[in-house]
Parts: sequence; C-alpha cells; structure tokens
Amino acid sequence: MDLPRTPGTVTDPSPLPRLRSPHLVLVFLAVVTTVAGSVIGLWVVPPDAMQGDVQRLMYLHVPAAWLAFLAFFVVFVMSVLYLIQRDPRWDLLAASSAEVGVLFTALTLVLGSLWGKPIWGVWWTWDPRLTTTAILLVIYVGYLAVRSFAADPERAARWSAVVGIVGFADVPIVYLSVTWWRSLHQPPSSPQSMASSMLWTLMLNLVAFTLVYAYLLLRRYQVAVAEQELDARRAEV
Amino acid sequence: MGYLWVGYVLTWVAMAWFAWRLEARAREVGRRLRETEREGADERRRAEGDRVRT
Repeated sequence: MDLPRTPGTVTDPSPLPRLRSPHLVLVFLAVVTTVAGSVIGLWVVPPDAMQGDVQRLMYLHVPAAWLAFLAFFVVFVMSVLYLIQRDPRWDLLAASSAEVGVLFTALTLVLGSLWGKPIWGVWWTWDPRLTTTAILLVIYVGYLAVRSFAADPERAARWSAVVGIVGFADVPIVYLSVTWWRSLHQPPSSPQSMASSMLWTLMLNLVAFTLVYAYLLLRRYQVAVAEQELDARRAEV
Repeated sequence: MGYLWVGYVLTWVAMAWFAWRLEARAREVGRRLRETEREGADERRRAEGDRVRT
C-alpha cells in the first residue's frame, strides 16, 4: 500500500486510479461471496419457523451491523495512532473507514426498519438498541462534518481524531444495550441458538460484507492519498 | 416478501452505488493528476527555454 510520509507528500508518484491486481482479486472475491451469500440466504436456507421469509433479512442486517462496528473500531485505532504519531496516513485511513462505516450504519438502520415493520408492526421505535445505533450514525456523520468544516487540514485531522476516539464509546453501548435495558430488539444470538444452516449462511454473508468493506476502505484510502498528492503538486505548479 | 426484496435490492444498490462513486472519483483525481503533471512539465520546459535564451 502506498502511504504518505509527511503531510502533502506521497511515496507513490503514479497517477493512481486504475484498479491494480490485488484490488481486482478483492473485488472478485467480494462479488462472488456477496452473490453466493444472497442466493443461499434468499433461496437455499429454510425460512424461520416463527417469522417466515422476512427473517432472511438477518443475513444482511447482522453483517451490516458488524461492519459498522468494525469500521468505527478502525477509526478509533487509527485516530489513537494519529494523535500519538501525527502521521497523516493514519488520519486518512480513519477518515476512509468512517465514510464506509456511515454507509453500513445507515444500511443497518434501514434493514432493521424493514425487518421491524412486519415483525413489530412499526418502522421505528425509540428502543435502546435502535436509538443508540441512530446516535452512532449521527456521531460519525459529525466526524465527517468536522473534517469538512475545519479549514486547516492538520486541525481537521486532530479534531476528528478526538471525535473518532470519544465517539467509539457508543459502540459497546450499542452492543450491550439489549442486555442493559428492556429492549424490543432481540438479544444477541449464539451459535447454539441457531440452526447450523442459518449460522453458516450468516457467516458467509459476514465474510462477504467484510470483503466489500476491505475493498471500499482500501480504494477510498487510495483516492484520499491521490487527492493529497494532487494538492501538493498543484502547490508546486 | 416485499420487505425482504426491498432490503436485498437496497443493499446491493447501496454498495454498488458507493463503489461506483468511488471509482468515478478515482478516475477524476487520476485525470487531474495527469493534467497537473503535464502543466508542470510544460512549465519546466518554458523555464528551461527562457534560461537558454538568456
């Protein structure tokens, strides 16, 4: 991976954009596993005895939530590293992960709403799990807003790193909300509480979503590095 | 079944849209980088020509 060494300079002088082979392999694997996960989730695995076919949304909703957590964990770690080392590559990785995390958090909420309507009878309720997840989305939209508002890139990186670290406190709260408070949302399932065919389908979709995340993160990071390089070259010209 | 299909199609579309936008942005940055590189090279050639003339 090509990483900037100092603000405004990048080790890779090539004008980025074509997908290189490691990315193509990642894209191929992400597409194959996503298609396989969707086909198995929609048609192969049996429907839930209580909820029927709509339960198949679990194969998307749970991986999306997992990716939201993973993305914001990456933001947290990269933000800590940035504040310690002041290396812009950590900041760019954190920002890239936050953007992808916002996508998956929004998907988690929408998919949960689509699942909630036929099962709970409502699109939305101020349930602890739903509310804390909505707060998570607001925090990371705020993270991205902080970056765009601060005029000085170094200050934007520093402020957003603080938001990235403090905001991560909401992730364990989201996870534990179903056990801490009385919740309409079901508690976390365990391998013992699921049929093995459902468990394997869920695992396949988790892998698929993780590969999609890896591709989006790396590509977004590449673009961020190239944009920094562009700014540096324009300053020279 | 309607909710299920909306969920699946929405997920595919959202991920594909994000990736497509990212690729479009990558192409645009690449184009601007090459343009800036060309401008820089022209600038250097002009400066070199001026130096030789003087």
